[in-house]
Amino acid sequence: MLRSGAGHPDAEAGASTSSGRADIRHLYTTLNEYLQLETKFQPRLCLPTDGENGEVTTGARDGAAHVLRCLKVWFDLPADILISAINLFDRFLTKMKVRPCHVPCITVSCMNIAIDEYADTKKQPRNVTVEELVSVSQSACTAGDVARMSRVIADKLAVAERCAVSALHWARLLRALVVAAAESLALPHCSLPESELINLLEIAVCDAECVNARTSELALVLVYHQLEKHLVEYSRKATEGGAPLPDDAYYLYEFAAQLQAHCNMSDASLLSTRTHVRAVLARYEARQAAPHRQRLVWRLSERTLKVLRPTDRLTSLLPTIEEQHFAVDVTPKRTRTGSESSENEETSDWPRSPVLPVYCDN
Amino acid sequence: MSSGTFVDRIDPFAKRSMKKKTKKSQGSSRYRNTQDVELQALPLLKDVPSGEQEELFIRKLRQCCVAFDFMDPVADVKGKEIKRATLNELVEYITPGSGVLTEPFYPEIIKMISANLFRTLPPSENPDFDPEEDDPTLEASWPHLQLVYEFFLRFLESSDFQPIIGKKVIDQKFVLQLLDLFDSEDPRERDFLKTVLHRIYGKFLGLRAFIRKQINNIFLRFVYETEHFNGVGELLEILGSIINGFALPLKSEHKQFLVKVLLPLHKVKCLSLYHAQLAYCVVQFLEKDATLTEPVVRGLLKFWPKTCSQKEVMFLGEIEEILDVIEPAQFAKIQEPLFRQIAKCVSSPHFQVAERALYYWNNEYILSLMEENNQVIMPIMFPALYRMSKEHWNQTIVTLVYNVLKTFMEMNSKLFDELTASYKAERQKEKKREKERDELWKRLGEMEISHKRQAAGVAK
Repeated sequence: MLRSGAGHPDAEAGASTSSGRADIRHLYTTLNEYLQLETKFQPRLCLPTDGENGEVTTGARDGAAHVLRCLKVWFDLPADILISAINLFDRFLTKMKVRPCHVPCITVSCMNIAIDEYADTKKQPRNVTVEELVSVSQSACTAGDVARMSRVIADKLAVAERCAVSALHWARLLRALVVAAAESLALPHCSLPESELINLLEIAVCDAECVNARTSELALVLVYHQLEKHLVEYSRKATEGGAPLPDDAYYLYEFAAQLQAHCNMSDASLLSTRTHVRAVLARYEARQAAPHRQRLVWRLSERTLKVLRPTDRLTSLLPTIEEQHFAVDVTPKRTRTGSESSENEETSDWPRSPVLPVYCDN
Repeated sequence: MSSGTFVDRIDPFAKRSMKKKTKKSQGSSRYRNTQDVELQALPLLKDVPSGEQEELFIRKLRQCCVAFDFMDPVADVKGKEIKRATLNELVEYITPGSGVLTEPFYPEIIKMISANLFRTLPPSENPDFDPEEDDPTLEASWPHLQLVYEFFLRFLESSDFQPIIGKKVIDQKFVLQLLDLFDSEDPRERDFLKTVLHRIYGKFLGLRAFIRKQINNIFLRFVYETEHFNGVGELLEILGSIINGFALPLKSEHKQFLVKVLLPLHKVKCLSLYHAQLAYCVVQFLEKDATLTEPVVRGLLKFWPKTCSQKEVMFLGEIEEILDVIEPAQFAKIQEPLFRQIAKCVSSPHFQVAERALYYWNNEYILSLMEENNQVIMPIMFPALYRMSKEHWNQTIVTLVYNVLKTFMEMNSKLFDELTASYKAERQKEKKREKERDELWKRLGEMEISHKRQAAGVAK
């Protein structure tokens, strides 16, 4: 998949990887470029919550996103591929009415396209084949199906024109801006680790509500969520005797307002986005189980299937013999005579007992 | 002794069919009767007046005490047929409430039964007998023996049977001899014995403790001395029905039996012959008293097979049955050591072991228990699973590992992410250490070379 001459977003935001030494002007140029392209890559999902009319539900969409996330972990793929794949998936769902039975194939195809794109960008060969994707994901389609579907999706979304500006690009860019602002204020310990931010982003985009928010808002909310966490931690350490938080730190919130204005984000929409993101991240932090579990295929070898549980092989059982009762109630009541030893069955059978129970008359 | 060269016997890959198959023998446990007693055909019981039937019955019983040699198919054919027909007749006669079960008959009946059943079992024709592959050595005198067992059962099960009278002739000595017969190689005989002993245990409360004790002895000898006894499965079946009927609270004797006899039975090499019955007994115990779960699971972990993969698969099956009925509180007690073992199984290069362990995640109840305790279980399982996702050779296993990882991800994403990150960090550290070690060796190697060069230069 080739891009046109309009440079790759990653190349512009390459400065984001070096902490603090960014060319601020450069960052703002990129920011403006992204703002121009934002709507082009913005998903707008209108999915029902229940599948009564045979439509793809929000739950199904989220499930697909989790499948992509699991594949990302499985194949050890970079986050770029995951975010890009989810973005393709959402944009496709925005444009087309999809049948639920096609969701697995579409999911894998989006991953396939994302892997190709990434390989092109990094000028490295892809290290996951289509066959591997298909077999691991249990999508019940062939490699050929995926290849065909990938072409369909790529066409519909005009992937070849230029690489999408994804939520990850936004997150990296905004983070770079905030880090630069923090450095200009000589604030220590505001480096906002990128890996943490990316993790939060992955969690957010697995939720349909979050992706419907403006991508720029989503990124801003996440960056500030992370920042808040760090400031809170910093304050906590300060109360325990660490260095106090400089007042200038709160200037970063003004900076957020500036960014908000620059990007033309309305208060209402930003607040709504923040609420959604907080809810999603709260569920994540609470380590809650996902609402739906994927129906997986559990295939075993013939040999193992033959005897799963040992008692499967039992064909019949002898009738139960109740302790201290006759098994068949035909004998007359026993009579106790003084001469017989009336040792209780309680006496241990174990060799260590010197007394062998002889006739226990009960 | 099995024929075949010494090399065949020690080569584990030697096909069994290549061993010259020993002639299917019919080892009779009867030795030649020195007195050639001629049996005379007696009139049928139904043909004599009722007053004479009792006496005739006893005469027929005594006739049936005569033994015949079945090793020689042509010897005494007439006599054998008379005995067979007589036994048949006795079986029929005893069935309805015929009034033959009065006190004087009991000793005669037991005498006839003893004369036929109690014999020294011959040594095994085939010491390398593999019950799963070879045909068992059948009892040659089965045509008579079967009828004697049939007769015995009808006697015991008859509505006229009175244990009060019976206990005078069915005593400890009798039971002991009966138990010895469980070592018969003939599965039909063992099946009869199983039913017979089950009925005796049911009807003679006074013999129960003795029977349990003797079975213990047999098992202990089997586990710790001989590892040979053909009737373990049948005895365990009887014990299953006994365990099922235990009164609560369980007596400590029974709990001891579980830990000291049933668990060690898992150690024996030929476990597959009786594993179904053994597992049933163990699970019944746990259904009776859930507090026994911890000693049982710890016991199984202690005896966990280390070199036999087939046994490992059996153990995993049994553990799943235990988990099927486990109480959540008990699960929490044993989850750590158990899942550490399961992690090892998942990493096994033997695909069946890995497969069987991974299939636990397809069990809804076990999954719900794991979910409740995921913060303990996931960290134990994760490294093995992640490693296997990259390393295992078998595609089925790889798919199952994916299923498990996906299930974990759905259970607790945050923990999953933390474990992934820490595993990767660990791997990085390891790789760094490896690299440093390699470089150290390289430097040492270079130092040595330059040192040698110096030494060579000086020597010149």
